[in-house]
Amino acid sequence: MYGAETQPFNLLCTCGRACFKARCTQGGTSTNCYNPLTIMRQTFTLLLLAFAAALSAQSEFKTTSALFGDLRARQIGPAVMSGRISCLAVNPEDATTVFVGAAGGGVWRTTSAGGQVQPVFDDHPQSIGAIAIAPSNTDVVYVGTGEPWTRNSISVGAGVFKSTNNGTKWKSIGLENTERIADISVHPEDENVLYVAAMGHLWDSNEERGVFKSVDGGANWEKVLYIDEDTGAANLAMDPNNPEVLYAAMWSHRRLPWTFDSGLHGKSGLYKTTDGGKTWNKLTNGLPDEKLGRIGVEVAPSNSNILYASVETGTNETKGMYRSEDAGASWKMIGRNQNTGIRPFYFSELEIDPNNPDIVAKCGLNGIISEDKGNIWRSFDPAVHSDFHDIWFDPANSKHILVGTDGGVYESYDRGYTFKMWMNLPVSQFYHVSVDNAKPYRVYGGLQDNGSWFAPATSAGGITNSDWKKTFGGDGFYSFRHPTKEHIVFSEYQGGKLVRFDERTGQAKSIPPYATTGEDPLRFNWNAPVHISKDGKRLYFGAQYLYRSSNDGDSWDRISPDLTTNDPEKQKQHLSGGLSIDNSTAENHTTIYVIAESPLDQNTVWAGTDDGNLQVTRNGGKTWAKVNENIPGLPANTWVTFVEPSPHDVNTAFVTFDGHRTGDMKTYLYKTTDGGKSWTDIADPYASGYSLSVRQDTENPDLLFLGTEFGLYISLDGGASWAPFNNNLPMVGIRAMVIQERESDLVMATHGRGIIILDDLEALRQLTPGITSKKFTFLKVKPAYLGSGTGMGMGDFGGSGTFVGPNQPRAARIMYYNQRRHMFGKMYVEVWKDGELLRTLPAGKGAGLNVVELPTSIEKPKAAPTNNRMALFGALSGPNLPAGVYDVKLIKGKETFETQIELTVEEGDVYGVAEREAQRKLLMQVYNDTEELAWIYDTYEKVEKQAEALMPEKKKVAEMAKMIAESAAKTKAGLVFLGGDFYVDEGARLREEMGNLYFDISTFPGKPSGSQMQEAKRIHDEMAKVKAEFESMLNTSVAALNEKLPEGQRISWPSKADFLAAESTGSDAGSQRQRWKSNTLWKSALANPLGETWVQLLH
Amino acid sequence: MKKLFTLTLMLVFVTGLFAQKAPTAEEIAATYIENIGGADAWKALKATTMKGTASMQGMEFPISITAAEGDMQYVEVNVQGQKIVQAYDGETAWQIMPFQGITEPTEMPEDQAEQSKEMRFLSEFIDSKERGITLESVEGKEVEGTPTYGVRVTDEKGIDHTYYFDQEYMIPVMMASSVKSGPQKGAVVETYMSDYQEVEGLVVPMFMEVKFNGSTMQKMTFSEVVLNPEIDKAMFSMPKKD
Repeated sequence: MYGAETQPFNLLCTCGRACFKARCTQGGTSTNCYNPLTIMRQTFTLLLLAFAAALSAQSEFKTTSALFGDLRARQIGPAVMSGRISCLAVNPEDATTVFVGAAGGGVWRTTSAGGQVQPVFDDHPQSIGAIAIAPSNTDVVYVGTGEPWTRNSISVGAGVFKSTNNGTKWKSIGLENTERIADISVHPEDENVLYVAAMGHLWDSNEERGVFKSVDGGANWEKVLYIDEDTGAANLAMDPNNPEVLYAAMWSHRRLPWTFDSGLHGKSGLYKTTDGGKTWNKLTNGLPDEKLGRIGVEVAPSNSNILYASVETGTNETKGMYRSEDAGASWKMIGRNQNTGIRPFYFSELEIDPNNPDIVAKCGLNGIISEDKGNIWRSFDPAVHSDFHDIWFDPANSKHILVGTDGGVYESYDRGYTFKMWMNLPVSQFYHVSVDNAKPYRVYGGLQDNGSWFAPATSAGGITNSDWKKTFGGDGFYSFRHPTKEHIVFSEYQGGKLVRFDERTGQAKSIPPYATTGEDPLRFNWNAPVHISKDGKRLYFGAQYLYRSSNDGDSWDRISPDLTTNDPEKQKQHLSGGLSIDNSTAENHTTIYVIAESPLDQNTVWAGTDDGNLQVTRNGGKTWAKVNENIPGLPANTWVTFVEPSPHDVNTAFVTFDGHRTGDMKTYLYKTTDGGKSWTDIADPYASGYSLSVRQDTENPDLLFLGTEFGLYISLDGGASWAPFNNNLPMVGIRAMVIQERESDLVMATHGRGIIILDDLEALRQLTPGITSKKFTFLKVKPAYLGSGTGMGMGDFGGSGTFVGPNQPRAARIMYYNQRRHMFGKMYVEVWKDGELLRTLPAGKGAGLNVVELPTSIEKPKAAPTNNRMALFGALSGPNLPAGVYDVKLIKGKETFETQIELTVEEGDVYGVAEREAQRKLLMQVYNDTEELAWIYDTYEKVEKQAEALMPEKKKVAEMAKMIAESAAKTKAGLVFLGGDFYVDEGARLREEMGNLYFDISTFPGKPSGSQMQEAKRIHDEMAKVKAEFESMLNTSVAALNEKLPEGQRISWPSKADFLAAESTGSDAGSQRQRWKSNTLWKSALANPLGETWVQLLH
Repeated sequence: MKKLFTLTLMLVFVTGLFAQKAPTAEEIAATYIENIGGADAWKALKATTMKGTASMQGMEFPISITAAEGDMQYVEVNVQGQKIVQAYDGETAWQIMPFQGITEPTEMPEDQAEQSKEMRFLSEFIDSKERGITLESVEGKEVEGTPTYGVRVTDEKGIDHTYYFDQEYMIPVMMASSVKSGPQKGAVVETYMSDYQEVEGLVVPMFMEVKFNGSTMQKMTFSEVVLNPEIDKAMFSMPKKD
């Protein structure tokens, strides 16, 4: 039957699977494919292949991203403290379009001046150095990755990216090995001509640095200014009036784990070209004649001769700001201020008012501005977060200023006297995360320059900025609540300043240990490790020694010798910084960085150090064994970033190492099963990003999570194979992870995108080789919980511009594994309760994990129209489904698979099953009355209209029809309120009374009040009267009229069942309602006109 | 990091070597059309009507799509008693959108109309060359766990879609197209297709899902397909105002 072209194509053959022809593998023309023998051979081959694949599936299990299917992570923010912004770019034609580059949180775009911001760079490295919009075509945007503000915790980039559609889609255009891009200048008339300041590697030498030029939009690059492999371009300024003129700041610098050197071999300098980069001159006249460090330079857009430069030197008298009035030929030092020369590696950026060359602003610990050529400076609004990295002046109104700081973006309209914060940029940089066991559980963590905070993982209406509470300031790191003493939260700030915060009083007590007589001074890491045992009885804290406290930190026992290499060469924090000493504890080295007590044995404690020692004690600290030398393939002194003692086996542990601070970007992950004696490399050779954190699932020991600088990797087979998890999880550094055991949630601390939660570990736990070797398997799901009332009236009206983190959806979930994508025949889900079909839902069709969500409430009731707001809102949500077990059938082609799901009440819920059932029953009574009234109203209307339309010849019949029409109209009008203004001139009839009662009952999940029960009865009785009158009219006067009418003219109406079943005859659409509901619906529909795409595909 | 990027690329390359040579766009088109019933059968078709349910943000509503020769189409959606229409008669695209206050048939704004005008009644994969449609092989990718071949379809009138074909069955799993205007201009909209069923010898996807930025925007399940329905072609044209 495959023979002839004219034969109808038969979809399903007897083998039961779709025997579509495979592509023409014989390489012949398409006619060959019509040869039945060829077809059969191919079909046979296909079957054979499928068979072989099925056989080998078990042995060749491999973790793939496709297996994760529908699982999506949830980004809960926060944005209340935002995070470090490295650069800003504003559309020169439309200042409401702004691109924000975050230090570790990607690129965000707003087209509404911050009213709404969106991340647009999630698929690429999240560390951003520079953004440039082409002035001649503002749809062209360039992004240079790799932050230029070279603090200790900085991330890395991967070159330059380009968008030709205003930032919606991005393409890599090269310079991948520059690691960080400090600046991009685009020719004002040619979007394809651009210059890039590449800083190059921070921690080692490399040649891909200096100034690069492209004349073809990034297809090809020429290195036009290069000094040496340790000197990069740190700033670039193009004269907007003559794009052949550019100024470049070259900077020699190097960072190592224990030190930073600005100035290095002394090759820093300021250079100028006047021929588009062909030749460069070093500018020296009037600039300090000594070793230079980081320089920032700008040309005044309103006068090309005027330039300002911030210059780092090693001399107090010469470091600071310089001005040139002859296009760089000579320079003079200008007025001083603490911020003109402060911390140049972090704050060298400056900006000149585009309309006035005498107004200049500079980034610093605080932003400063001068309105008199730099003689006198004033600070920007002190209410702005410290640490400024970029400033933008609005050319149309230069009092309008945007700044990017360590705490987000701020906007001023009075030249910097006051600033308002953008409260919707969740680019917070967490170092660590912990969870408690509250309901809902809370998430704790400390952030770069933004203190220590906590918030619930779920909150009514979403997790808002006001849900976050602060426990301590400074830079925050470890932060966690005491497992048994509810009022205590431990927090710390940089360099080992540990505190015990008492939530009852808001007071924090400093509790770090001090060095005793004869001991070396204590060396605490910038990010010093604190650990508490699961039972809360043992608190650990690490300097170079490990300390343990049994009284919540009031006193400490030292339980180790110096666990580090104690290399004196790496203990020169006080000398760190190069030209500008930068003794901030950020380069404290040879310190303990990780502490982890085995959850199975309090005497087994692991300690990892920043200089590569991995130590373990099996006797609570009496003796220690250094085990890193047994690790194959691990370079000496590689920083230990995370130790996960297995929750399943006391001898098993997983350890991540990170060598990026010496230029080694490899992903290191090792496992021991013998307490550290021997180690296996279980890292994914294809993973990208250095390793930061690892966790083993608390239930399925084969389920592993690895956090790298570029995202989350998951292994389903104990580390034999890994796959990146990309679903709503950007390429962001995952510094720490923790599993909330009760909820089976993986909670991640990202360094740039706040807290990200993967809610569904229960599904991943079941994706075992056994399950995935089968064609289709339902996964077990924990019971779904009945929701709360609709919570009307909650929330505030903060307007746009604040961030709200999403909650986990409350719907009941049906989950299954599908081995191959469903292609042929129907596939859908039916949900049954007590033998009755409740709902049909579309099924997920993809290969891998599929999640189908069943709403836990039924549709809202069909109701008669009203112009009363509360009555209308009242019936907008449907009653909950009753608690109990539901049968689920998944129909897939000819096969049906069955499972059950349970709907119940969360343990400890204030509103128990019985109370909720009482609420549901009463609500259902009002629901049924509401629908009955809708039907009666609709029927009255139909009767009225039909009777009116009748034109009987007989006068008596006409009289009867008229009376019926009038009576129907009158009765109908008595049932609902339709006059008024829908706001403050409203009335209430039966429809409205029902709506109001429905509202009152449905908004509270517990037992209804006695008054509500009474009112429901009254309404129900009233309905009985209405119904009796209605039936009487139909059975008497309407029936009598119909008898007089010939068939075909008789008055007719749908049965109640038909009325309710009809999808479109509901008459509940009042004007307010349309506005209310249509909004969200059409917002999404408009982006995606209905039908168009579908029709396209059908043919 | 750089090294690792290179390694990943090499892997793709090596895998590519081991895999069989990918078919050309023309081979894919020919096999696909054959698999869904053959060019002759599709060319014989004058019109179709498909009815089903669209779901969006947890709400469901009935939808009906009629399409006919001459690239005409008429889409009707019923949302809570309100009738929404989008139609195109080969020349004029028009709509009724009560939720936007458009209660009378009104011409569509140009950017939306452009999308309607891109619809082709006859598959772009039939007689492509003669119709000025260019098929181009592009790199396939794994789509929801299914390995695919990519074919980009373009023409001078502005069509630009990329179809991803299941490598085994040679029918599309997903189609990617770009948003043409508005703030999301350039963003990729993905339409996933499945539940292919035979209707009088023709094979059509009875389920489609539109995803944007990885999130589902719409799902559509068709329950009824009528081939060559009796229709009055006037339905595609914007009714004249009284």
